[in-house]
Amino acid sequence: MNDAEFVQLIRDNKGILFKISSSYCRNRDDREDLMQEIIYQLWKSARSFDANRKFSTWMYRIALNVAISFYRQQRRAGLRIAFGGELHLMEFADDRGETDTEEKIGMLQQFISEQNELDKALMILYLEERPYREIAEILGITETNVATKLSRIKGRLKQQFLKPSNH
Amino acid sequence: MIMDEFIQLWKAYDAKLEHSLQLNLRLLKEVQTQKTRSVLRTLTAGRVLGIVLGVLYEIILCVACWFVRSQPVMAISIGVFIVVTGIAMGAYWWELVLIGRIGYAENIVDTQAKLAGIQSSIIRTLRISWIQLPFWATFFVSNELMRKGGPVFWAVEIPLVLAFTVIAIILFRNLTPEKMESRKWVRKLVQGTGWKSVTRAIGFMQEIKEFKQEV
Repeated sequence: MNDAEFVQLIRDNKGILFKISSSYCRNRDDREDLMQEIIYQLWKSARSFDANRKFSTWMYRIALNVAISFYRQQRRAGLRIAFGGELHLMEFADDRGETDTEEKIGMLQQFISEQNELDKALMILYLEERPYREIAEILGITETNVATKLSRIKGRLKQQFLKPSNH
Repeated sequence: MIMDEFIQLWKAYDAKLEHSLQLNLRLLKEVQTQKTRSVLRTLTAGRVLGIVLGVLYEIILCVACWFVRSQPVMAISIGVFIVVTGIAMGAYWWELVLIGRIGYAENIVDTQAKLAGIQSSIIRTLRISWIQLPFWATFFVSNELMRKGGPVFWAVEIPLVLAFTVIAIILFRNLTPEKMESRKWVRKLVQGTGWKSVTRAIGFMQEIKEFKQEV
């Protein structure tokens, strides 16, 4: 994978990279650090990427592995690359006010961020509509286990959204 | 809300990000060339530092052992320190090999289990280190001290060696990741030494185990 292909890869997947980072880090600075780390690890692994392997499985594995490891590492000062000023790797060009959908997205994000590290990964992959087989391959558990765990998480999610305070 | 609605919500989030999230290409280039400090890098740095300090300590011990070669108790005690430090350095070296084998492109459960395993492995090194505890009560015992120490010396020395031996055996038997899961005092002891990351890693290994279980 050359430089141009890699930049295109990040461009095409900026949404999921942002969503994974947001799910594991609510704080903006931490999110930026995590995004840098994910992109760096993708860049490092891109050179050894086997074209015979499924691209999405490879990308999700790296992004989620980095996110979980990052989340678990104690936050330390000075870990990030100092770009200087207020520059950010990803920036909202058009951040409109809250709509009903955005409020619900916020609630969904809140729910995801409350899950443990591994359930978060499972939830993200489910919402990304990855097939159970691929989810199992990414996580390293069986398809049956994926189905069982997802059914529990879905139950919790429904309950959360049915709470009177969330209406 | 039914599950399809959540997926639609997630897609709406995608659409919003696609529309409003801008990637700073110049910074992206910088990320590619500047190395961020990853978890693996932090783990590696810790082990490399341990080996460097271990080598320096070994040199000092070897020199000391040479100077006291005519004093058997002192020489044997320092010899034990040399062997134990050597084992700890070997363990660090092995962990460096394991860190080198970790790839983020592998499945999440296996990668995270390996990482947590390495993070918690320091407990095994600590466990081995306790073997030398009784010899901290003997490394200063010269031939002359044994000859001239008299009953007071032996009245202090023997209980001290016995107490250190008992403590060393108890700690050696209990300082394991498995015992840490089940015994509160072992967890507290490790936390007290400032190794919260080790206890967290061990807790996470338990979570991984449960996550893998089909129930």
